[in-house]
Amino acid sequence: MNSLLIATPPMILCGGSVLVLLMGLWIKSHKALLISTVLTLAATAAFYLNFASKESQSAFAGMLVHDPLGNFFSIFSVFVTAIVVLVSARSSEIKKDRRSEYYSILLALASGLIFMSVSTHLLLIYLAVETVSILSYTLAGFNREKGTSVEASMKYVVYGSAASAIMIYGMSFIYGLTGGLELQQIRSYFEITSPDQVPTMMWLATLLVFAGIGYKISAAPMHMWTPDVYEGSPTPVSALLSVAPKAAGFALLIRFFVTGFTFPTAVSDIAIAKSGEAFLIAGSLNWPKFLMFSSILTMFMGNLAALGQSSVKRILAYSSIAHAGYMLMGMTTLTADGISAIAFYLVIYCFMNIGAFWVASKVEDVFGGDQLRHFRGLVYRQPFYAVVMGVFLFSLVGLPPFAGFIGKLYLFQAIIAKGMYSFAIIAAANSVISLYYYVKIIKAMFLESPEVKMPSGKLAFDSRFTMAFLLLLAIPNLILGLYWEPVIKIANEAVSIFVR
Amino acid sequence: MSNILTWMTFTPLIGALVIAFLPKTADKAIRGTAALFTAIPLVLSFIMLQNYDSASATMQFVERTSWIPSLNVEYAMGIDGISVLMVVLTAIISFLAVFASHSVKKMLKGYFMMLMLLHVGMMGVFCALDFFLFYVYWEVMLLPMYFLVGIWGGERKEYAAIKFFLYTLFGSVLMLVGMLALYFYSKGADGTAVATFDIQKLMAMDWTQYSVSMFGYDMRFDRAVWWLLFIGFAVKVPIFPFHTWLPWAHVQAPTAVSVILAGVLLKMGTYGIFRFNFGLFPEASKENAYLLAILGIINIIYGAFCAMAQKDLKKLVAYSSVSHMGYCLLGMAVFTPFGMAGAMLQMFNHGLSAAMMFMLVGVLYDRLHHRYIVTDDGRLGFGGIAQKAPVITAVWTVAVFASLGLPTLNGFISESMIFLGAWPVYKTETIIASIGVVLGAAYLLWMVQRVFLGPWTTLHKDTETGTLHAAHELEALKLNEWIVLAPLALMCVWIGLYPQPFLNLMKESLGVLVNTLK
Repeated sequence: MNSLLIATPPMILCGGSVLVLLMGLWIKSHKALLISTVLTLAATAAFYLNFASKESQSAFAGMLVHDPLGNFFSIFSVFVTAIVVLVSARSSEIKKDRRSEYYSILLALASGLIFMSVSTHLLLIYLAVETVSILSYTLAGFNREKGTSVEASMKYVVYGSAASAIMIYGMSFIYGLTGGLELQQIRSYFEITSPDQVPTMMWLATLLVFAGIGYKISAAPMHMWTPDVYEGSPTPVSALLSVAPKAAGFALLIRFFVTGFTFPTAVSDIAIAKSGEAFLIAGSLNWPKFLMFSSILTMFMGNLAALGQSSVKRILAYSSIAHAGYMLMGMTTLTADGISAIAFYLVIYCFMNIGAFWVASKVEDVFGGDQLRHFRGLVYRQPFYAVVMGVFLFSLVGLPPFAGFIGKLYLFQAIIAKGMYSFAIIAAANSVISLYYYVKIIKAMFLESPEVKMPSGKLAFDSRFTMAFLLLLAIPNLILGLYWEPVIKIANEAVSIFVR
Repeated sequence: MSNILTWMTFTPLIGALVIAFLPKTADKAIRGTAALFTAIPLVLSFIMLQNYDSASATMQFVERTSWIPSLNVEYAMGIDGISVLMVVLTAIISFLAVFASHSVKKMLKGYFMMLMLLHVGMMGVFCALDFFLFYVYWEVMLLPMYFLVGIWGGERKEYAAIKFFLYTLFGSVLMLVGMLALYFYSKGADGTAVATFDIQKLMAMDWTQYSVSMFGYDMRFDRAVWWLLFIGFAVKVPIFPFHTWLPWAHVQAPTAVSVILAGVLLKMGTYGIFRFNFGLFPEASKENAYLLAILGIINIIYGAFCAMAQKDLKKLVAYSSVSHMGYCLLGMAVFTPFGMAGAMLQMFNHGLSAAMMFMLVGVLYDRLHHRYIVTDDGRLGFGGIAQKAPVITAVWTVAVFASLGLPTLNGFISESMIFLGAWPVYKTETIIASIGVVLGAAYLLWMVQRVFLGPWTTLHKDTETGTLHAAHELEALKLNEWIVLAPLALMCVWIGLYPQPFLNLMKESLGVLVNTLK
């Protein structure tokens, strides 16, 4: 496969983005825009499914790579974008006359996400992160009339720019120390330099890059933008932000550390890890311990802060911070098991989180707000939505027999296999803490009677389309809780390039 | 016959699905369906008892299929002497709970669907032979319980429901960590064996050879996991100081849910201790036996004193549950055949008598709409019920004396067996524990005196205004209440007079357990 073929999916998406933007000038039919967007995404996915590969193939002289991990996260990003397109289709928060720009930005964002998942060159990594960031800033402020949306966008811009600046600063140090911008070149540096000869500056540089990537995945202490941005953005955009950039950020984290910074073990000259063995990371910083503390801090920050919230979107924002903490658990052990657990968890997380945001979006459309009092008594008014939200929320808690439990099971497995019992107990305690705020929403929906007046007129709730798609999101939460072999196989395959 | 346990466990699930498709207003149809789909497991449990071989200590009615090959999790179900009585108890209580649900009027479909889901979890917990499967069944119970207490409960139902949920989930996640630890170490010291969740295989392994580090301390593996699992089960039993959820959950739950909670759910904690703590870690259990006995005594005495202080009838019964589970703990902690058999029988007996008591509290609550033994301003809430409702009083008396441990009723057999078993091992502690019997008599008989005897001073609470005024009559027991109370009362008398069949069921398996704990 030549480089151009490997880079076709982002090109399809970029082309689609321009096409939808131009279409919006002449074609006013929303359906047409919607269909073209979905078709573009489908074409991209089809490409990947056609050209899936088990080996790693480099493109554009080491800038991109075509490998199972990249494929997994690219298909995932496309899939998530497609679902968000469907979520936004009926949302009243995105004005009708801006739909073409909206879909165009979404498609371009998807291409940025793909680049984040497949790039192996520091500059392309930075470009990809910036593409995703800038487009996210625009999306966050898409609801121009609402003050909170503009404020969210502003906060996102300031925070994101600072984080990206820190990241490129760290990258510049890495370039200076290793002499290479490609991750492979950085690895070669480690292959020829013994651990005690690596300068101390190296761990600071990687820490700075980690800060930049951590901002994307909402790891503490780079998480502070998340609640305000998720609350202010239009809800479909929050749904997208909570899953897609996070997933791409994790892909980046994995690739950055595993491809660039692992020390060769004694067994061979390329990083080899059998399932269960750990990767080693360069620098004098004790990375496993550092990642563990980062994970614990993220989990606690997300869970404790969510306890006092009354806005459901903010609760879901803090919950997504906490889930980033759980996923960092998988990174801590630096084993293939841990990384495939992250990939597995992201699939389930996508179903749970987007579903929860979708119901929140519907409630916001119909009842005018996302506070807990807007959710009160939902089971009496719209039982389907209440039940399906219950499924998503219990899955987020990690309660059997829902899929969220299985996701957490694999993450726990990864750390317990390495004997980190204290860490496991802390993470388990966090699960219990998280129950309280998820149940606050459940309590409002099921245990309390309706408070906000039911608006008259055509209800945005009465939509077969939405109910069908919510069901399609809820069913995997139930089925994957009992039978998940196919998904874990895919996740293992994604990580297989790191395992020999 | 070969899949009888699966049928017993999942028939209520079919019932839940059937109920989901019934129209909202078809009250009778919904109740009838629920009764039918809990009667089937009951009948199957009797068939199972007929075919149960009391002379064998191995697992019977075993079903095994591969469920998740990549994790080596099997769908494995089976029962032995330790679980057979619990399975029968679950089947009985599940069936009777449907008839105890008469006071539930709103959202019947949701109520019975949740009840059916609860039954699936309860039955599965006692039958599971694979730790992962056990864990899934254990957690499956939490969700229906939250909704059952939170939607159909009393005045502080939301608080009680979330307290129950948080407490039990906390215990469960610690159990999860322990379970995964066992899974990984089941690979053996050389890491060659296949990791497994199978309980019987795990029981055959030696866990004292490993060591783990937790929060900076190095511990022997079996001690660490013993504690993780123990805290998980201790929340359920409930053992002091993890018992504070129980008065809330029991009191605020609707009658049928209290019946299930006291009748079955509490027993899961002690069952878990039997099966996992004792079965997997005999050495660690022996080291912690004295602690278990002390905790049992604290439960007995503290529960009894708390019960004595209560002005709310249901809370009194709730604390009496805490006290009675303390007897189980004491019996379990001494590792003698008498003690263990007494503890197991006490689990079964208390399931019956507590179910009766909660049903009877519901009987009074349905008629008078309050549970005050003494109201907040000092008046007697009930009083002299024996004068106008002698039949209700008679049934109450049977339940009270069964709970108290009067000879010829079931409580006496199990409590005396526990004391007989505990005396050789801990003399002083047994004497202290036997004071609990006196205390039990004290709070129960004092309650009977204030509620049933003396002049008629019963008050009736007006549901709209909330004021209390004198009641004039008390309706007799209705058919659905008789359906619940009569079998329970008869079983109390049966076990009190002729407990041998029940003891025979568990003898062999307990014998094996006692041998491993020597």
